[in-house]
Amino acid sequence: MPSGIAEFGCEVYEDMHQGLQDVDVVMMLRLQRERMDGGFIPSEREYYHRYGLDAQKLKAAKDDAIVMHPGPMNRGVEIDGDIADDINRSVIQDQVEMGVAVRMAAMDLLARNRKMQMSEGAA
Amino acid sequence: MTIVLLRNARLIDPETGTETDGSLLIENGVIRAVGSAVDTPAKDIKSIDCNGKVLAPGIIDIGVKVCEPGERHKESFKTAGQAAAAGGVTTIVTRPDTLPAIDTPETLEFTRRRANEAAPVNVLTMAALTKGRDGREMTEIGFLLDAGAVGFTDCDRVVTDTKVLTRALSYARSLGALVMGHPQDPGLSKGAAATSGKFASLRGLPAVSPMAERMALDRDIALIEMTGVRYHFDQITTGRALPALRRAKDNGLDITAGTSIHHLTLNEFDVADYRTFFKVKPPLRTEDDRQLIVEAVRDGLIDIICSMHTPQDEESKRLPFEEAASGAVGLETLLPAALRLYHSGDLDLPTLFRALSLNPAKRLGLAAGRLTVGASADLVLFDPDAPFVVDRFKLHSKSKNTPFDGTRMQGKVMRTFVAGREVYKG
Repeated sequence: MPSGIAEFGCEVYEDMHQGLQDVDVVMMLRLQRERMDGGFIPSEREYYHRYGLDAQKLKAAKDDAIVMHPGPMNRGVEIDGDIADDINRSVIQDQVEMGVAVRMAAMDLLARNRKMQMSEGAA
Repeated sequence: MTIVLLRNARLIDPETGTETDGSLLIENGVIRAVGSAVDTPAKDIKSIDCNGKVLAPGIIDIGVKVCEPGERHKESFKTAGQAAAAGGVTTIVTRPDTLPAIDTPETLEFTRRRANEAAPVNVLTMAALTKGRDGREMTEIGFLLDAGAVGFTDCDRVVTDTKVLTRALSYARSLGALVMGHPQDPGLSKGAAATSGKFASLRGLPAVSPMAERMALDRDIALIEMTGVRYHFDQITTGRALPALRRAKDNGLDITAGTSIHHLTLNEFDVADYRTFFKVKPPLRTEDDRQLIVEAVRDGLIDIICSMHTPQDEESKRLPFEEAASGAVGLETLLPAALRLYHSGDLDLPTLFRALSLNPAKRLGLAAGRLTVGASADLVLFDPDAPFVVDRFKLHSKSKNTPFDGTRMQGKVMRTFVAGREVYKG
């Protein structure tokens, strides 16, 4: 758990079951191994067992709760493949698709802004 | 549906700190009634006259080495279990420093299966904190807990990388796991065979300062404060460590401390002319230290007394002192050695059994270690005054490396019960 995370204003749970109780949205993130120096977890199999989202753990959430993930997914690590592909629960494909559009828009804005500044500077 | 009545006993209740004369009724492996006036059911019951001898909760020994897997020629679950039963120890909590180390749920399941087949007493298992006890990667603490591990420890291999240790402690904390540490600065204590001081110098032995214990204790306390983990120090053996331990406990950290029976009843002079059966880890201390540790047990600053049972074969012990293996067997001599402190007037019996039975049970969350209705009928009946001479070849342990060979002791176990079942009769 990142230090000081509670000060961000979020409720912190170490038990998936408690944390998912009656939530509307479940957003999973992958383990960013490139940003970890050494082991925060003992193994992927134990991580999946305790913190990987599967049908059993998702039962604690609301019946119509949606599942999100920004991708790329590691199936069998933070999320079960069946949940990821469940068209009734998972909005991951839409999220990723929209993510592309949002990134395009952000890049477009940045690019225009730079051009404007340059023309202003030239004037 | 067996009902057993143990009558005419001197009952030791460490929970209330009292001794009373009375009876104890066991039904279905559980204590059904206890006290000076026990109503006995009319049905036919097995009645045992205790002849006024002492009936106390069975000993719970944290940190026993059973050499399975890997070195069964030194000790097996069968022999360790028999030794325990003969010593009034009703629960052994095993160490993971086997070959290979108990560091996966698969090896833990193996030991649990072997233990349940072979040992007449309760066996609980601890697992390694890091893989191979190498101090580099934490073990699967979650899976190991699910498989029944009651604690996590790398035993005498201290984790030197504090980042690795912090991660492991944080992870253990998130799962509520108990971690057991060995407070010895690994650099300072490397190669040491004695405690530094006049005796070690006279004998020319490589020695370690008692400060190595304080240093490691201080480091671990800082990490416990940082992570909030539940922590037990396996052996506190020097007076220098006590003020730091007191402060940490007063600060509300979830800490308990143990000490070994050898450090409570022997001192460095017992090594005499390089007697390797007295070589233990950490090495025996000065008499001043020993007395301070006894006092700390009396005050409750040190919570738990254990045997630190460490079987070694003759080949590894019959060597020059520096080269000889460390460790001593202790399951069968734990109680009579502890009774030395009773006979010397240092500790009364309820205090002794608080450290031998009640506190270990509390730390492990067991419904045992006390003489209360509803607790498991894990009991030891013994004569605290009966004298005998220790003969190491009569020990049940496969390894005979006791420092008490030929020693006159007082206190003989008469019967041991595990969940109401008699597992030893002396």
